[in-house]
Amino acid sequence: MGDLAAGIEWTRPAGLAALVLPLAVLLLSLRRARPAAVAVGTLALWRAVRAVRPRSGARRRRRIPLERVLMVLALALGALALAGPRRPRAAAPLVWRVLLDRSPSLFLEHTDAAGRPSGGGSRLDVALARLRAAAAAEGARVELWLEEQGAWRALGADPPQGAPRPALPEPRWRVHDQPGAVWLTDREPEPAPRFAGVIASGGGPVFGPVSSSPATLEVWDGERIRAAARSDEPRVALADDVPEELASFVRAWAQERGYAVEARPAAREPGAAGAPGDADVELVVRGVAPEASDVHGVSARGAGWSLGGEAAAVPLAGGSEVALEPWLRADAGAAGSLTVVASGPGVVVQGFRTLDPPGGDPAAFAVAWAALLDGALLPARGVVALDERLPAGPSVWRPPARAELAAAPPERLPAWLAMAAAALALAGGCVALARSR
Amino acid sequence: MRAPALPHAEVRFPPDFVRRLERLVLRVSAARERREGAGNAALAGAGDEFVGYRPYRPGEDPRPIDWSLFARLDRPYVRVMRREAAEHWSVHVDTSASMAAGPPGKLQRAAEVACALAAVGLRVGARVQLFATGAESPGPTGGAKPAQMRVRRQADLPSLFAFFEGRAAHGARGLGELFSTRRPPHEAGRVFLLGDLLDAPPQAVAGWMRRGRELALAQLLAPVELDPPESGAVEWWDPEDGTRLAFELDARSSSAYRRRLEATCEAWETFARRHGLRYGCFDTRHSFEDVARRTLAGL
Repeated sequence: MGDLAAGIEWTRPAGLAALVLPLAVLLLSLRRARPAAVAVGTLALWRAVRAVRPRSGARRRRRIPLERVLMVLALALGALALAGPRRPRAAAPLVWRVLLDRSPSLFLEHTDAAGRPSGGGSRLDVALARLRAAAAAEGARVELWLEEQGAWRALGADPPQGAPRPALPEPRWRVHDQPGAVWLTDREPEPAPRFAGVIASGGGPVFGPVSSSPATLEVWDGERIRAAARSDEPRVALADDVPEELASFVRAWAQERGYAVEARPAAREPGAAGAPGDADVELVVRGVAPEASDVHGVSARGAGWSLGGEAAAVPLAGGSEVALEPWLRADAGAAGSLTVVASGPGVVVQGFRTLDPPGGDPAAFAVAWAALLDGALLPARGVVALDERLPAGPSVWRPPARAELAAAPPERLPAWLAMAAAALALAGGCVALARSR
Repeated sequence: MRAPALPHAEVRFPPDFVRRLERLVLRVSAARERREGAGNAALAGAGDEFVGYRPYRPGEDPRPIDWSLFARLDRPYVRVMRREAAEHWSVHVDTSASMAAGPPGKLQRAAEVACALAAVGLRVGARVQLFATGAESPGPTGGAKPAQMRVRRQADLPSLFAFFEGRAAHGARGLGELFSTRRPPHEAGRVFLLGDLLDAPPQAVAGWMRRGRELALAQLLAPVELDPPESGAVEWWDPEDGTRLAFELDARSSSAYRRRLEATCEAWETFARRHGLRYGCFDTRHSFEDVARRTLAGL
């Protein structure tokens, strides 16, 4: 019993003070109360009864009525239920699963309200530093996680270096509102999480380029946006597995737009060459790796133009961190319909091995392909949208709900005690009622 | 040790008491008229002047039967006597402290019955004299209450109520002491004794009997005296001498007590029957009308 009592924790220890009530009732019940004096004119008769039956009037050991015993027990159990007993849980290590925001604003330099660098590095660096300080204070272990295609991916202890290119959106925060999770960003998302913690770097405005063209950069200085000449040479990459008919069109388009064309070797593995973000180019035009898919005779039709030849299907998923959208589908006869051209931010992938001369209206063909290439262009490195550069407000730190507490099954002991107390009180009332009749 | 409070010691007439009293007097008078005839209702009874005969009714006191007439006619007839023109009733109420037992209090019920007897007596033309045994018992304001009072006409009834109102059960002078130290007024033709009759043996009342006088005894007992509980601790307390007796009640001790009480009451009943007295033992839960009707029955 002692071990059992020692193994109980109380969530509301002040409730134990209510034990005074049953104790007081018990003491009052045990106290030998003087019986009520009843005036009678027949005392002589009672004396005579006492004389004949001396034991009748003898005082007996005071017994506590059953209903009062039940009431004392009910009060005691109620007081214990009020104190919220629970079995002790093993102290689980505190782990924070930190979901990183990798949107462009996190990689901007942390500034003060006037836009001057605070010296803490990027907003991401500042948020991470505050996170680690909070974790040290709470004794928590930090795990860094990313959101990729809606799922969590462990990042390990090292944060990402440099802004992803192309830019990534913020995580879908509400999906990840969980106990033990911490959202790491530069400004607190709306609405605020219920369970997850938040650490936001905050920060002032970050001035810099907000858009680009091959010749100029549009730079925000805090008051207005002004044009500035680019200091670098904008380039597009053209892989050598692109049929010459298309390659010549790409070169013509690049010259027209003001881009230099950088020739690249064909990719040996899917996505290995021309992957976006790994070069300073603003567009990669490449083919599909030979072993990636079978080659079929295909014919495709656009708006006023047509294209035929031998092509392999462009894989839309896997091999690249950029999601590709199909742009041109072709009829491959028995093989059905294949995606032969797809694009994503900074990349155009085509599956043609050989290409017949385009049919139909050449101008329509050129307009369609130019629109494809223009749409896939990335902005110049360092360009961040204006809304990402705006002030992020004050820093925020709110710890997450304890994962082990939230996951723990509800403690049933207080409920059982309360039910037992109610049952005893009911039984006591019934006994008292039966005696009164 | 401080004496416990006696919440039922004082007489407090209920608000509807006068109305109930008037209704009782009418009913008793009507019953007498039905029994004896309207013309003689106020006359017939115990007296010295012969009026006539009437048939004997089974259960009646056989003493008034005219045996010589019975021998001639072979049917019993009762001699009807004219009551004295100014008959005298004497009502004695035990106001000792033991009459505080209740509820309802014994003195409360005795006072109500005494008023009822007095009202009926006035109705039949009697002079009524009332006595309280505890002479000069304290009144509600602390002053002493007189020990006796005469009522001759209806207009005296309010004074009679005042005689009892606020009177408290007090002292140790009960009917027992009264029997041994006093006698009723000589002219009293009917004597009523109202009390618990626990402080004297039945033989003590013998000194109050004489020829031509009717004696009626109403023994009033509280519910706790008639029917004590059968369990629990209690401290019996005699308010007359202050003695106490702690008792752990059980069924056997309560039963033994009841047997003793029944024996006491039976002794009174036997004595009364043997000497032609009227006797009744009443629970104070009975209404005063009931007690008064049974005390007056046949008178």
